[in-house]
Amino acid sequence: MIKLYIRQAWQLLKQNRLFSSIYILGTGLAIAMIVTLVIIYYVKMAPVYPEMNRDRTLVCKGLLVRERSTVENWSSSLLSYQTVCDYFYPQKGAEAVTAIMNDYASGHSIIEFSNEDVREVQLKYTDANFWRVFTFSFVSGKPFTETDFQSALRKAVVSERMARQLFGEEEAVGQTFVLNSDEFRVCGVVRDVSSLTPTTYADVWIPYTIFPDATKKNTNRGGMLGSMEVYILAPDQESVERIADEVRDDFRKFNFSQKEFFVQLNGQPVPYWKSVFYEYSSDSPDWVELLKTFGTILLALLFIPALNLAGMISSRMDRRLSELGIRKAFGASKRILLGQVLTENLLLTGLGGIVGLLLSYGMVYFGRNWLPTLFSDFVDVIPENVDTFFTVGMLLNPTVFIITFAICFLLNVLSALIPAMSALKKDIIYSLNDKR
Amino acid sequence: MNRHIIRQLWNQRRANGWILAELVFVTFFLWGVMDPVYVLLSNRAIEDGYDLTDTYLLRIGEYPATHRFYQQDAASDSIRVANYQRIVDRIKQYPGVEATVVTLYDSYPQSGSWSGTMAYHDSIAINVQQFIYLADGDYFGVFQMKTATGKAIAKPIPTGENCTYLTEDVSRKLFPNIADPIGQMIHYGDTTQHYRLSGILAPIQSRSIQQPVGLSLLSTPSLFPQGLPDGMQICFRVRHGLASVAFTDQFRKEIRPQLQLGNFYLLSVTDFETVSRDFEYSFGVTGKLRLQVILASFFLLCTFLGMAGTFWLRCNARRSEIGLRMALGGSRKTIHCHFLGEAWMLTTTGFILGLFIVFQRVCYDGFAEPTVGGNSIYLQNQPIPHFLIVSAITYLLLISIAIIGTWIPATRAARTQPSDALRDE
Repeated sequence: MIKLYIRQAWQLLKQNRLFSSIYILGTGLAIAMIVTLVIIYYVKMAPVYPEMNRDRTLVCKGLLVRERSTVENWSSSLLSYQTVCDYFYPQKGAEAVTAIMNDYASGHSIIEFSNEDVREVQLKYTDANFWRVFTFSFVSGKPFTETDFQSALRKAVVSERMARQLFGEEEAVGQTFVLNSDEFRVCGVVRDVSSLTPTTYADVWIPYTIFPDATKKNTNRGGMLGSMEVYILAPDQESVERIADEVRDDFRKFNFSQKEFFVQLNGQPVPYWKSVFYEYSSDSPDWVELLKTFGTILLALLFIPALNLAGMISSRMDRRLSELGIRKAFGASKRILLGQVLTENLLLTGLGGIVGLLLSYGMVYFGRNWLPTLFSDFVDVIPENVDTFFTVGMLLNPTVFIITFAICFLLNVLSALIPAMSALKKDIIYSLNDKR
Repeated sequence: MNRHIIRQLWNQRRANGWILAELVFVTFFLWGVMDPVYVLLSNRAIEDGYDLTDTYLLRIGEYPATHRFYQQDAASDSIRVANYQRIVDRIKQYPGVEATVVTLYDSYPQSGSWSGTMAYHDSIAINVQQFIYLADGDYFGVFQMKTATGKAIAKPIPTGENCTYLTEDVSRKLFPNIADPIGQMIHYGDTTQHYRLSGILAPIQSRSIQQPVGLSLLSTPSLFPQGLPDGMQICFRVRHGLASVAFTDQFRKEIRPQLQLGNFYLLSVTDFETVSRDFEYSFGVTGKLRLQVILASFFLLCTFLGMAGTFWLRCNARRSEIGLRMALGGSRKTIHCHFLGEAWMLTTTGFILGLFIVFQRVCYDGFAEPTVGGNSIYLQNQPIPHFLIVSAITYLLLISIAIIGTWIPATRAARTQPSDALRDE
């Protein structure tokens, strides 16, 4: 039956080429916009290289410390080394806990290729657990160890791209290079990381212990605030919430234990996908406002094309009234006919879906440097020499396909249901009598 | 003709209903998308009051104690201050550099940091943004800010006294009864430290994406070791027309070894046009504008497809009518105008209905990107002109795309041969 519908739909499609192409283009455009949005957020939230454990990772990106005596006095920032050591590293339930510090030279770290050739480089300071929380694939060598980290050895993991720039085709592991005028030894080379995963993105990763200010105690606001983000890997998805509760509990105890400060976590640590929306260290995201923004955009992206398509379907239904009349006269029920119209239409929407998917791939490719930041209040400027790339897994994955199909289906129902129903409501006599 | 068009539209109300609904929707969303674009662009178009061409921002870094180049004997406060002063002098002497100033805590236009403070005179206190720089620098030479009367500001002769400058609006509020407040003393919360008002500046838009706010500039007498080197930046202006990528590269290459003094080294040197662009980008404004433009294009493209599709089908269905009109003496031009008139009336009706919903939403939710306590000399801060301007922009966009969408089918319809069309029956 369905095969017959599709064959008929195919004939109709070929008969009226202009109509079909406008229809497919209209659907494709709508789907392309939504799928682009889906891909952007897929890359931000779903497991992608090298952050394959995102579904069991907890994140804490900041604290707010308030003085109890004068509540208007508060500061907020990322976490200090002390806070990480006191409240995060010791978490027993966790599989691994890592702290990441951004470049203290605020993106101006330089590698000397020669005396003449000095280039800025993307740098991350971290610890040995980093390599357990995130799933880097090592091309050669291995990560720096806990001992290397504790003894502040100048060891570095570099990306494949950086290794090639530094040493050409030679084996990089064991060689040295000059970073910020200091000498480092390469201990491992990893597959390149895209700047689309800013948590892990860098070309050189080094232990933060080599930078003495990173671990220095500060006294401001109880020494809680600093410049580190924490990522906690839970052994399985079930224990994620439990670990988050334990961390929150520890801070609650701290709040009760002394009278000077009050620490606010703003709901953190949160699962990775939620942390995407934490842009201010002083506040949790306004979920209602976010829902409103995205809801409005989705509504607009779905309804405007749906109305467009509905208008076109309605005029096409007018022409097919006589056919529907005959089918009805021979006993076809409304449900069967409605099913037929929707199935036929799904063929067109499906074709539109494919066009849309391809269009959205084109869009994310051309907009790769700025599309992912469109919805952020604060954006890190991507340095000029960085080329953002997508991995295959970011684009070709079941989630994106399933969502694309679901949108096709939704768009189809939204646009075809009302015109089809109103056409089927007409009496057989009118349908049979209709000349067109 | 209008009555005729209305009757035609009414007769085809079923087909028109869908496109009308779409136009109402599009008006609603397009208005919402154009609103922030209007505000952001008009804020950006405000006279900024400074000049960033041919200017550079230079930052100095310091080796940590574990660094192999770290010198223990260069770590004392006095040597650090002396070294930094030598760095500033070397930049001043670089060929082509015309004016130099050391700013504190990112006190330059288009800066991501913000320091606010209160300015006091007698019993009056005003909230201001504050820029601080070193007294021996030529701040106004670098950024070319002007006085309220439009004159350039000369570098003051050092008198050992603390100088301060205020923008026009602040000085008016702070000295409501004094016609010429220059020479008056004010303070910034610390009553032991008074500053002499040395000049009144034209409004300065310290951030291109926001409306100008009251600004106070003050100079501090000398370098102090606590702020070195992170809290200080060196801003300089080069000879007019000299700044270019090649100059920047050459400057960087030549100055780098010269600035390696003690534990200090050249961290970065960036031209201010890049600083400015990066600032807008990192505050999400560039992204916001792009997003709005993408959404607006999408809505307009949908409208185009909708109008073109609807009128295409319609022109085909009404071939016999067109033939008859022509046979009765209607010219091609009248036919063309008739279809465009239909499109115009349909779009305008949709727009008015949509605008009605927009109006409800604006009353309930307010405008996009509001400036709290914004100065009403800017149209974007006055509700009625704001609403009318955004509505006009939306209407113009919508009507042009609708007419373009109808143009092709209408031209085709007008080209119909009456004999063919009449035989269609």
